[in-house]
Amino acid sequence: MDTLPLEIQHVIADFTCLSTKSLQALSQVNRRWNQVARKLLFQHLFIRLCEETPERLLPLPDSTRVLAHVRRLGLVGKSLQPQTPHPLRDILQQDEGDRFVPRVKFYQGDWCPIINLIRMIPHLQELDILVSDGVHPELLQAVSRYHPTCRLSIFPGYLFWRRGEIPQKYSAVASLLHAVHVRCHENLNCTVFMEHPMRILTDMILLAPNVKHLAMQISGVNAPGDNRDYHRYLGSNPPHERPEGFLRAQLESLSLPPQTKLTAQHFSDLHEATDFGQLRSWTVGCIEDSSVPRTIAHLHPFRQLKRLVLALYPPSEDLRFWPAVESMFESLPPLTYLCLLGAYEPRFLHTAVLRKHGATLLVLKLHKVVQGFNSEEILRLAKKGTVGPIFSAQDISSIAAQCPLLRELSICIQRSRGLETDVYAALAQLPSLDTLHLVVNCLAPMSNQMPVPPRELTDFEQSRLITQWYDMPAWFSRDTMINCAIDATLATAIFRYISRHQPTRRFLRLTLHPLYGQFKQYAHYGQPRDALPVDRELFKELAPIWTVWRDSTGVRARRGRTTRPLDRSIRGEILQIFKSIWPGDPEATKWPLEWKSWPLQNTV
Amino acid sequence: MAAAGNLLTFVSADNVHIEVERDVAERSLLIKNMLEDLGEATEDIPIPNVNEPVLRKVIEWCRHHKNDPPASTEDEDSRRKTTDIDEWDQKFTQVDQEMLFEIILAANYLDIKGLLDVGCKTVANMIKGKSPEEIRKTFNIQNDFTPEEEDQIRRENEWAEDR
Repeated sequence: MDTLPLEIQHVIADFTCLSTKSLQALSQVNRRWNQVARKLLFQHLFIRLCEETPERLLPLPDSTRVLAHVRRLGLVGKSLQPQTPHPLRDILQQDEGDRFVPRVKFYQGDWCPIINLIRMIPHLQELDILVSDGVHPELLQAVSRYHPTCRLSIFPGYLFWRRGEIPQKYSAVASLLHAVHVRCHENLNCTVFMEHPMRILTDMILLAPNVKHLAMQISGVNAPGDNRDYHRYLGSNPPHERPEGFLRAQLESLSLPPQTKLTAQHFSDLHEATDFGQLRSWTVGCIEDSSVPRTIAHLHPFRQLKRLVLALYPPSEDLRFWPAVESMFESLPPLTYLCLLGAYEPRFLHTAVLRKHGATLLVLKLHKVVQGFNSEEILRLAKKGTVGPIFSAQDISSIAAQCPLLRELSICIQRSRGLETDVYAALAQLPSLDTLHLVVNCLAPMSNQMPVPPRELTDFEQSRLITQWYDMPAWFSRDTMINCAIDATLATAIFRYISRHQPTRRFLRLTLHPLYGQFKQYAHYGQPRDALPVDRELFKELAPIWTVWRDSTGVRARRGRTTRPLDRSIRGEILQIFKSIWPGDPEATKWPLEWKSWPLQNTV
Repeated sequence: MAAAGNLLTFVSADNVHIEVERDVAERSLLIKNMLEDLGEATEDIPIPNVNEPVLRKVIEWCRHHKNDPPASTEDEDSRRKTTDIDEWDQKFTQVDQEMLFEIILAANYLDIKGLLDVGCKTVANMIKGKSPEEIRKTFNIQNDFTPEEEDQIRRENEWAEDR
């Protein structure tokens, strides 16, 4: 390996750099590998701003050995939510349409060492700033002075109710702004945003003429939300006049909150401010009337669009809605990435969308799961009707016939006591599929009227039926519980089943996300927020997320971490349920319990 | 003697003649460009840097992947983000280290991007999770650092690490 040409060693190190620890180890192997690894190791420096930061930064390393390689610098406050599922560094590197940024703390420490570091980096090309209340003005001056061509990405928060950060603070470096990700907030118990707070974005385009990536997210908070203050802001701030000679922004990506509505007026405002001809990625939000798709089909403004994320919620009694959406899809250039959520029939996907775009799609997402801090997004979408349809084996076969290049799929299917193997066989018909995110609805179908095997609920289960006043039959609760008790054996069996039935044997990675009534999805009985048949803590134990993949040692399965550990005080009761469902298990006292669901039935 | 019709003949570094279908051979950008320049290949095609066993392995890979769609830019980006290797390729790369590096060198020379990536991902996966000493042992690499240099690198890595 030591004698491979340098360019090949770079390719190897590039794949190794997916793990910083491995890259660090490689840099310590010998001088030649150090030379290769160091460029990758230091190209993206990531500094978490906290009290200890100045002390840590003060002994600057030899600038020719470390800082000379730095091309990108991230300045990020500490996350307010300590149990971040993805490191902030990874979040910064995600695509705009997939990114959900957590709230971060204020930084009240000394800015001088950080400003000094920026001054010392000779070739800084990108700077990401995610700090509540922004950064010190002198830091921005240093960026402007020492790195006048640097691409600046900021994540301003609109905390109107406490006069928080607003993007005007960045006006000194407006011409460097390359990406802006605006964070708004809403409280689900107060008034929420129904439509996109679009003025914030159109104002931003006026402020930052060179911006290429513009995004907005709306997070849930327990404090007052921004909605009322936003409307006050609109009342007291009439739209800015466009300066003479104003050139439309050349955005490459535009990401609007997935849970709020895009109106025809929004689209016109954006079209006046932006040349959609350059746009490659667009997260639309919700389309809820036929005027938006009609306008898009009429204007036909997209020439480069490759990625599209949207949710469709048809108004009642608008017969023009679906034809308008079909015309809109027809007017778009061939897409490679589509995330289509909302209340539509699977048939609409085959006949109106994939007919045009199926041949080029590489990624298709037809459901969305809670990842990180986006639970309010999912809740809001679910409240509008549904996050996405449940797809049958026949629906999936139609997708497979139309999407020969599709490599990644997110889709919701129904689990039916292991009898759903026709669905897995249909998924295997996708010839290029290598990554599958399977949302598995485990709520028992209403057609199953009898529990199998027969068993009554324990007293504890009976006492924890939070929805018993909705006439939920006991068999429904226990069927759901067994349906979602996916263990490593079952997760691996599903992976192997798909892999074995796929003629091309491309399949590499499966994630299983059991649904058991979260946000009332597909629920027959329900509470205001969730429709869990039994208390949430049981499902934390019972139904984790599984990831299954193949590596050189074979097929491996990893159980997802639960965000909070199980309350030890109810272990005894859970053990009682476990033993009553699987009485013959000799290992029943080992924790965590090996819950077993119905195995796959060989029906195909 | 050049093969007829849709067949080409490669001549390996150790002077072995191997017939290969044109669509299989064209997985190599070097060969594809050469054939486009020449129009029709009437001569044997020498592959001077690759010996017979390695060339046969390379052709085996190209034959299996001959119907793969051409990689787009988006595809390239997503491929870069993972070291996952599909089942067939995993079995294909279960060879001794010397052969693996020969395949990587041949893929680089013949400009077969997919094969180069598979080879390099396999090596990256062999590095993953190992200490510097374990990497040296796995690949028989000499440590040429002085203790002072080792200490300096450790400190630099520590300084740049996420906190």
